[in-house]
Amino acid sequence: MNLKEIEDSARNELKAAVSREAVEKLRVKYLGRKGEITAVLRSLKDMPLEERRRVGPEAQSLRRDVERLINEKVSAIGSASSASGVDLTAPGRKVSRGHLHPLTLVDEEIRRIFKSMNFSVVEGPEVETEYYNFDALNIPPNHPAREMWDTFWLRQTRTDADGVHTHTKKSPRQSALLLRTHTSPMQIRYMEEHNPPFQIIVPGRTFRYEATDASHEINFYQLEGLMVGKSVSLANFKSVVQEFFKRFFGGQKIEFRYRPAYFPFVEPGLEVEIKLATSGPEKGLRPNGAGKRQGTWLEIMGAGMVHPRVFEFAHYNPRDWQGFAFGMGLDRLAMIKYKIPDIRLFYSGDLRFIRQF
Amino acid sequence: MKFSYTLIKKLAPGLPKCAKVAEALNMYSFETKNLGGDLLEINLPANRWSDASSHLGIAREAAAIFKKELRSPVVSIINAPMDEGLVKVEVEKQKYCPRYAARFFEIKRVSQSPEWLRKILRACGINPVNNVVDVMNYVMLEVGQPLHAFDADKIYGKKTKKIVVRRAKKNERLKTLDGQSFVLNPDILVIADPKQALAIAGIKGGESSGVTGRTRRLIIEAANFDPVMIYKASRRLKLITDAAARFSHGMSPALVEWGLDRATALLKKSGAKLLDSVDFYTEKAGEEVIEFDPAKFRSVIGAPIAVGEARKIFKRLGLLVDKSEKAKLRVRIPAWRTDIEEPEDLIEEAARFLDFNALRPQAPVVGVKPTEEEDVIVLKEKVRRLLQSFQLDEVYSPSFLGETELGWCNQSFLGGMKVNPVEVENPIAEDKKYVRPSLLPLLIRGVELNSRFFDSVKIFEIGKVFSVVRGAIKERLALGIVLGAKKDTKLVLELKGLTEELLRGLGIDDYDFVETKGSMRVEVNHDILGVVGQEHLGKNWLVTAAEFDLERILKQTEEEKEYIPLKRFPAVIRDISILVSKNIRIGEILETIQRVSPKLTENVDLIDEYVNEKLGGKQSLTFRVIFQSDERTLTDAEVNKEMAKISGALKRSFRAEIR
Repeated sequence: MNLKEIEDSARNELKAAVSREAVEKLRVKYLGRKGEITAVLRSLKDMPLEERRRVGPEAQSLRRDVERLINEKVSAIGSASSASGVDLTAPGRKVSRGHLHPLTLVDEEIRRIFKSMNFSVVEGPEVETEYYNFDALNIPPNHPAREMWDTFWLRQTRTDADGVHTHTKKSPRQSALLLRTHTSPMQIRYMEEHNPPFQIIVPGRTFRYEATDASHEINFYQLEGLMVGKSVSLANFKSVVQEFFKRFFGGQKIEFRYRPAYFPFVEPGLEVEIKLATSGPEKGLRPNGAGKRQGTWLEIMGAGMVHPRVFEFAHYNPRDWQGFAFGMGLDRLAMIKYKIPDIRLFYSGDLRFIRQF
Repeated sequence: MKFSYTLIKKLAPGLPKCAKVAEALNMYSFETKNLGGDLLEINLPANRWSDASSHLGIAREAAAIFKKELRSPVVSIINAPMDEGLVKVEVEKQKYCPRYAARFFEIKRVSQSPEWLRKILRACGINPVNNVVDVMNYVMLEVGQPLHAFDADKIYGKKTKKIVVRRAKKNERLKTLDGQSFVLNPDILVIADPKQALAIAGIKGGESSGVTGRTRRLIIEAANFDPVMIYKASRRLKLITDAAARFSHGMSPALVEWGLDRATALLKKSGAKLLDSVDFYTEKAGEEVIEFDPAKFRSVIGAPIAVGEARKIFKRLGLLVDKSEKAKLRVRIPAWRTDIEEPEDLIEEAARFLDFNALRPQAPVVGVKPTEEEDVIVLKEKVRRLLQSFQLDEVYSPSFLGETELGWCNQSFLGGMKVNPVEVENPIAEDKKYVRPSLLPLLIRGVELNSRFFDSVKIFEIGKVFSVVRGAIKERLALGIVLGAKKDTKLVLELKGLTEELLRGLGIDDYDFVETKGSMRVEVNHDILGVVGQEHLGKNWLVTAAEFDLERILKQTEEEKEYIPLKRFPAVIRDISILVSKNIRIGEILETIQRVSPKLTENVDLIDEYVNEKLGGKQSLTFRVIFQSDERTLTDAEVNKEMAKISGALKRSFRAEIR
């Protein structure tokens, strides 16, 4: 056993010891005639000069430390049982607190970071029109592009004055109703009512018609971002998102990668990927085959520069304004942050899960 | 879509190894996975099928990345026999079919294709058939244009074979090459001879005119169809073929001659002889000219680009750049590049080849103004904090529910609301066919689930609920609270107290609880903020639940809190125990005590309550009355006088027996 190991075990055992007897046993174990530290000190004389010079002072200092710790522990035990009459080694009384949902915690953290970067926070309706969810975002009807967003449609209940069923008309107010498949419709809704420059984020629940599994839910949370100004650029976007992720994954080393991607409402469009540090067993990601923890590239965000046609739909002149937009899944961020393996846990209502946060 | 590296490499021989090409495509072009065995899986973006749903297109991208030469396999056929009268084409409506070209061949023998070709087909997931059909498929893989081969002798017509592109008749039937039968309708386009349909246009060929070992004369079709029609037809027939997928995304009519010329060259190698050709193509797809402005690039991307650099990138992509020394480039976009429509599209092409990763992040310059957060977001946060401080846990439930939960809504204490639910047109399951009209059914189920692990459960959720009101969908932000515990019959009073503290915490003091059939409405100035009620679960569990409308609560919370001076004079506390009939309600007694001398009575509370059979039909109640004055210290005598008044009032009003 080397000195470091002796020190660690002595500290741990002392911490666990609750009676005077136990402490005395430890005194013998480490400092007694046949004690572990004593043994090291005795072996010094057989060491070559150089090693003796190195180990000698360390062993002496360890002996002093352990002696001091033992004495402190002895006096602590003594006073506990005498003065107040309360056995301080008894367990603390249970106090309970309420727990917020992990998605709330993540949402609040994200809002805090973006607000610190001068973003405002708005929300939008979960029931959307086809116009805001698709058409105004330059996602053409009857095109396979829409298959990127499998949609829950709502039974049309709107009736006009004659009680006649009205159907899908392509005007903003009268188009078919659906459960929003992303938070992007708020880009249009916000721009219709506000003038640039501005920067906003939009958190909210979204819906996709798809089979449920460990990484897919039919309802989940997204966060949209939109920044518009005279000269807002892609380089600005990189600065903002990198700053965000660095703070969100607080202190971990984080790498970024950008790949081209297609979303009809941005041009250029890209996918942001991150890789979290390999260091620190607590924060590393899944271990690779060799058992070494290794980061993998994680697709985490779709983004790009707002498409000029989207500006036109929002009645902005695309010659005057430019900006970036991005969207990411809150569930996915929470899963990465808290290492949650299954998205369905979020919606299970299981308090054994919730009370961990 | 699967791609063979072998074929890509043939089209751009300078490319490095497969793994390197895969990695580069992934970083600069499209999401690409290296499947091993020289096979790539590429996820094509929906706007790039016209130019890139082919090995030529992928090779073009790869060649541009590695700055290597691209060798198109297409050699133009010149002096081909044209309009000789062997085949004619009639297109019912140009909109449905902007281009239809056909070539007529004679072939000595239909046999097996060479192994190298069969290998590429198999790699890309296509079964080899014979040396005619295989060429059709191979050319589609190579240049992207879907082709189809008919056995000319199975098409009606003596000398001249006439091909008609028309909408199917109602209930017209067709058996496809793979033996499936389809009933068609006028929304579906067919290729027909004057007597019958031969193929479902752009989707699949028919059995009756298919090429077999005995085929000696061929008609090869290369056409272009309306993407929406093909998309809808293919979805309606649930027949998604390689051709249908391409046409659905929109292909350029310019690809037609690439397909035909390439197929002609390959068929000639198999000994086929070209005898005739036709090309219905009335409105030619032209080149677009789009300007590329490096200054705009710099502004949008946030980094400069040299004109010369942009020019090189565009040329490598097969775009044509006019020779000029001006600061801006005039870029001619070939017809097959259907996705490039605006200057921004060119900016993207230049930016991705310059590499997004090399772009230096730059903090935006913004005018500092206070960030805003919608009031309702702030309210949600406050509510969460308050409920957390009451030791409640927050849960999130699904937004969908079924008939059972809906039934609960209508039968429970919420029933007064008479929920008219929002129905999903395409529910994913029968028990998820409604969008939740209330948070409570699933919250109560949550209590049930947790009752297996905990002795008491206190949960809440904030979320949107939906109902149909006067024909329109109404979306409300709701707060649901559910408490559950074993054998705690007074749990509803905990929820009542919690509600009061919550409202006070939000700055609402003038609330009322209005009793309605065993539940309570919470009102402020007759505005209903929510309801509180109770339910029984099995296993002796009692559950009490409340749902609030957060937007209504928001309207009531506009007032600021105001400090009220602390009382300077001491309070005197007296308890009074009474025995009264069980039918008398505690609320009324409390009110009576308070009314006796409202000025001196600071607070009245029920501190003990006891019902026992020994007491007969009576209940024993103990109230604590706190007297306090703003002006002076109250004397014992004064308080005794007040207590006597209270006793008197209780005796009078309730025939109470003072104990």
